[in-house]
Amino acid sequence: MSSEVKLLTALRPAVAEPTPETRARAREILLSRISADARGRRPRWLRGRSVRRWVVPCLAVVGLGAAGVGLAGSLENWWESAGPAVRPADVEDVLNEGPATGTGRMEPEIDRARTVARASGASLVAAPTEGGGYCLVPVPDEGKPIHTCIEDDLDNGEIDTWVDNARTDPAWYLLGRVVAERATRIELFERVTHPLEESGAQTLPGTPLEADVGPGGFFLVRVPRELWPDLELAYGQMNVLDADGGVLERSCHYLGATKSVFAPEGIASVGDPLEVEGKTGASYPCPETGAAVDRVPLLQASPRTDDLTGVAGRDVVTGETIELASYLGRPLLIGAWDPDIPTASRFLEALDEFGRRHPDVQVLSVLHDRSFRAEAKQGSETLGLGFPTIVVTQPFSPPRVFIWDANGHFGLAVIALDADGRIAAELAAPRSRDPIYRYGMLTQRALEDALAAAGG
Amino acid sequence: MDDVDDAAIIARSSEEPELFATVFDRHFSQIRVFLQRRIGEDADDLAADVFSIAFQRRDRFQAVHRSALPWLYGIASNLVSRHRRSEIRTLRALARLQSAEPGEDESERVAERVHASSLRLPLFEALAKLHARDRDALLLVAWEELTYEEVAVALEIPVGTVRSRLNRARHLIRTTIAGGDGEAPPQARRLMGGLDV
Repeated sequence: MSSEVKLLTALRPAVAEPTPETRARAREILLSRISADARGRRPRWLRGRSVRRWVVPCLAVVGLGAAGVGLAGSLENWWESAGPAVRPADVEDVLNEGPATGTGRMEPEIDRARTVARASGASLVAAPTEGGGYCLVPVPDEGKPIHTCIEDDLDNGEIDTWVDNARTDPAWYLLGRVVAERATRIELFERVTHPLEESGAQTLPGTPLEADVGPGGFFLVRVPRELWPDLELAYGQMNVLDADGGVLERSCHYLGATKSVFAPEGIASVGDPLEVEGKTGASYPCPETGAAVDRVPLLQASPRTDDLTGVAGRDVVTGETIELASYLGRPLLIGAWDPDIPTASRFLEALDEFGRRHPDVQVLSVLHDRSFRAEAKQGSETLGLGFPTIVVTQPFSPPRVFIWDANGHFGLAVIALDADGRIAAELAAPRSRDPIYRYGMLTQRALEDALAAAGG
Repeated sequence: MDDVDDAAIIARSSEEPELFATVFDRHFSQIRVFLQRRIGEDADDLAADVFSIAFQRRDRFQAVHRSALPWLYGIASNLVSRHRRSEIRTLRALARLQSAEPGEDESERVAERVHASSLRLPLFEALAKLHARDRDALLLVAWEELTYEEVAVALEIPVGTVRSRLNRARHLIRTTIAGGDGEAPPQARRLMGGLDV
């Protein structure tokens, strides 16, 4: 054993054994997972949704315009045809901060980090990972880069948004990767819709943005400021074009907000795209404006006998632990959500409105992903919510709350517990392969029904 | 069940999932202690996550390894990598801890520990500066006392890569403790000459 290792061992932090309560709680979580597995549920996050979370979102940007660099190269070994990484020391620093998928190690091959696209005020650096994925590092001309790594859904490409609101001249970028063979350009956006709203733009004014696809299919586009009002909170149809202008793929993406209620100051809202249906040659146009308004009311499900009273979580604002058992004696409405869901803020506002109209009703909301804690705190404070939000950090807790559809996709849900802590009713979006219908529209009437079922 | 190794239990758990709880019973304490050392306050939650993830991915466990512990350390290390900021905060808090005061029975061993404590600040600062992958390998050896082969299983890398990561980590630590002149302070030289721990 080397001397450095001996020294480290000598200074190994003394840590107490876990308490029986800690052990029992963790064991219960595992048993719940085993039970859920027996029913065939596969929560989506275990397949790596968290890999798309951005790290160290902070940047400075200047200028306008949109441009890619170079021509599309091979999708394999793309680093061989791309130029060296800009600001390599900063890129290395940020890549060394993680993240990992949680289910598999993501090791960026930093030596192979390359500049794969360029737009006004920023460059896009990509690095392959040892697992066959890649990390994206948008590098502003000034300021600290951010990054994310992707190792799942590699066949479907990726698009994300990146916004800096901290500057006097905010900048909005769209970036990602297309994986269609023969792709040379992308078109943003032939079509812009608001399926969850009753009205809104259907097309962009003027000519759609176009950008070259760089080595490996990567791209970076800066959105001109005059287009922001039309793209804000919209769904945009991205077309992937070949050298002749033929459309190889269409896909529809939620573009997020340039200033989200959930985003800390100056931090990007990250678009959670609708899925690209299929691979090369697939066609997935955006649903018409208003198409989902009437089709996605949260539906009431049958009561169940599950007992959630053992569930506890940490308040995102105060940091205090809240146990569901403390709500026993009166009905409780629990909203399960996630800041990435396009209708999350309206979901919370509806829940809050209901709570204010019924001061005797207990209301609580839960998150399942601790990495959303900061956003949830920001949103709770910005919206002035009158109920607490807790992070139930165990991956499958509340263990029997159904907020995933049959395909393992995440949605919104409300669970009404009766005075004894049993699930009396559940409001959840319809099970659908089309993700937009998972986002639900929570109505006061649905909440009234749920409360009545819970004996309130 | 006590005489059945983890590999056999995990194999059987594909048909009888509840058997996986035995793996939890055997290894939860060590995994939770590891996470407490690495990231502090979220250790309870993450330790629970480790076993849920392990259950989810149990079909990928390689039955050639009888014990699941290195594999579980690997999952835990991956979770730590999602909490790098917490880890760095924890390391810096450890760096600021006061050195332990020796008791009345001031044996040579206690004296060594006091000397070691005097190196706490540069040591933990150096740990915080290491590449995450190097730190993972180093701390699995130094704090969890895994063999190189077990670290290789945990991190899913060849043993040679374990050695190179450890070499890189040790070099940086030695350089940091030695300071800019490359000369280790006397207590460091003494400790590095052979600390009895």
